[in-house]
Amino acid sequence: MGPDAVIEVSGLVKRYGAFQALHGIDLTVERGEVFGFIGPNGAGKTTLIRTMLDLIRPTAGSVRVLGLDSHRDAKAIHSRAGYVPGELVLWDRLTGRQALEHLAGLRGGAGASRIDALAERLDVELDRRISDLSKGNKEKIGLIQGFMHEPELVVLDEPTSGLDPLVQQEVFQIVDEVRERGSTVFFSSHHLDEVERIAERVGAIREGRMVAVDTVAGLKARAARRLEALLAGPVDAQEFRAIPGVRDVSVSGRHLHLVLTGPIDPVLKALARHRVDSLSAPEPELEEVFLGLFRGEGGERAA
Amino acid sequence: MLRSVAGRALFEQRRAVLAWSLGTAAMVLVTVVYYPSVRDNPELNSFYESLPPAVQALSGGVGLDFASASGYLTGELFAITVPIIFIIYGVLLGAAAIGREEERGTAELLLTAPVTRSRVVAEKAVAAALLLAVVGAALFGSLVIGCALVDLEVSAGNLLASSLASVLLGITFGALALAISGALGHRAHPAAWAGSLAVAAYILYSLAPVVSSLETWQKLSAFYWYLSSDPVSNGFDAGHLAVLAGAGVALTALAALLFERRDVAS
Repeated sequence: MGPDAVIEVSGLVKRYGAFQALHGIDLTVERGEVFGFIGPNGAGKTTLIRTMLDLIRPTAGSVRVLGLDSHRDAKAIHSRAGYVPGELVLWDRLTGRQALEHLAGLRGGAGASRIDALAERLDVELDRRISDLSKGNKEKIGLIQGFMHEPELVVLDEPTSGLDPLVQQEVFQIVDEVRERGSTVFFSSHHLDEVERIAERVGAIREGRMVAVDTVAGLKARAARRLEALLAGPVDAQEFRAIPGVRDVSVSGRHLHLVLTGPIDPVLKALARHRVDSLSAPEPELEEVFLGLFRGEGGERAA
Repeated sequence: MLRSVAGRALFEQRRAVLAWSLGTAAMVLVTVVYYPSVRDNPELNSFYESLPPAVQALSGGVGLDFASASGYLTGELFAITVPIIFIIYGVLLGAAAIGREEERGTAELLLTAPVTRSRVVAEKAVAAALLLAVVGAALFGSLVIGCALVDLEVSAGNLLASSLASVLLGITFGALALAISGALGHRAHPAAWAGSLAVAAYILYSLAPVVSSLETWQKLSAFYWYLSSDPVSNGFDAGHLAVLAGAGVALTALAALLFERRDVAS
């Protein structure tokens, strides 16, 4: 864990009575990166986020945010971080502007001057009572309060779920700008295309355990990919079965079909001994990678 | 106004506190203007004296003289009606202070702002005390006006002492509700617990004169410190008022301590 780690989670366990929500999470997020945090509902995404922000306390293990202890230094962390909760609820009796001015007030006024500009970008009406706003408009107010004070770390828990595509684009734009300024973004989602669009690294959580932490490219590289070749003549399947990282080899006439979980180079070398008429090995969809991870195939599951 | 937690608590209650104040003042005026007809009707008093002591105890006090100015105000207002108002409003505010933010989900944003949980509890408690004081001011003002209208002779100082004691009683039970929700959250029904404990405290205090085994225990009841010094007749009793205020502060501190230690409900 380098000095530039913005989030350092080690051995984090969270238990509710007999139910264990987190089974020893280890995770490091470096300064300036956009980190995508992905997993099915109930996997523990929100539990981890709420622990980082001291809303709940670890049963075991430790969480450091911005180099500070998540519990002891919560106030200092909160003044330097922004949080957009997944289930955003604001004070119904206030207008959007009043709620934002209240939150800015709790930050000693930080961010108050940026409320109007952000409201314009996200196209939200600030002078209506929150109880009269649509879900999407409430979420926009949630986004404004998460970004308005230009925090060093922004934690977003599935922020785009209720937004229309145009506003989603605007959110991605804001995230890009925040990153360019050097801030760190921790972004939970279950939309892979969204994570692929904005995150450099991705952590996948399943049943309270991290099943993978890697770059988007790295995850794709380790995924099983299909390879099909049309050869000029008959081929012996055995020749390919011997290659490490190759499985499900089938041959029908001149068609060779196999699944590759290791490096592609030995397969290409083997193919080179034949005349190849056509070859295809499409890059796997990130979605397939995760479907595999969440089914329990591959990944680095701790026993 | 909205720059602080306390400021928002006051802002959100601005209409409610007006309603509580106007309602209290109306009730006080209606009660007080009946005083001349009670005073001039000795049968009412002899009827009260003919009731069994236990019934008297629970209806205002044993041997209360309804024909006297202070006996009338104590029996008709300060023994039951006024405490009900202040306890209900206090308990509602105390139970909502943390509980409602948590139940609704607004605690997520409030508690991830750079404000400690103790600070949130303290500001909410101060706001609740101020709101109860507003209703107390309405109580005092309507008593002064009502008493002047019907020549009910109780000094303004004694009316102020009685009103202050009522505010402090509401603060005590509000802080009890706050402590329960701080410790256990809204799922523990803090308003129901604090309200029932207030009823128990009332019965403990008022039945003590007729049930000798309760006598040693009545000092555990907040009502003892609220009413036993008879503030309508005797004015300020600093010691009694300090016990109520101290209980409110101690329960608020307990609320903060316990809320700091637990998970926030999602």
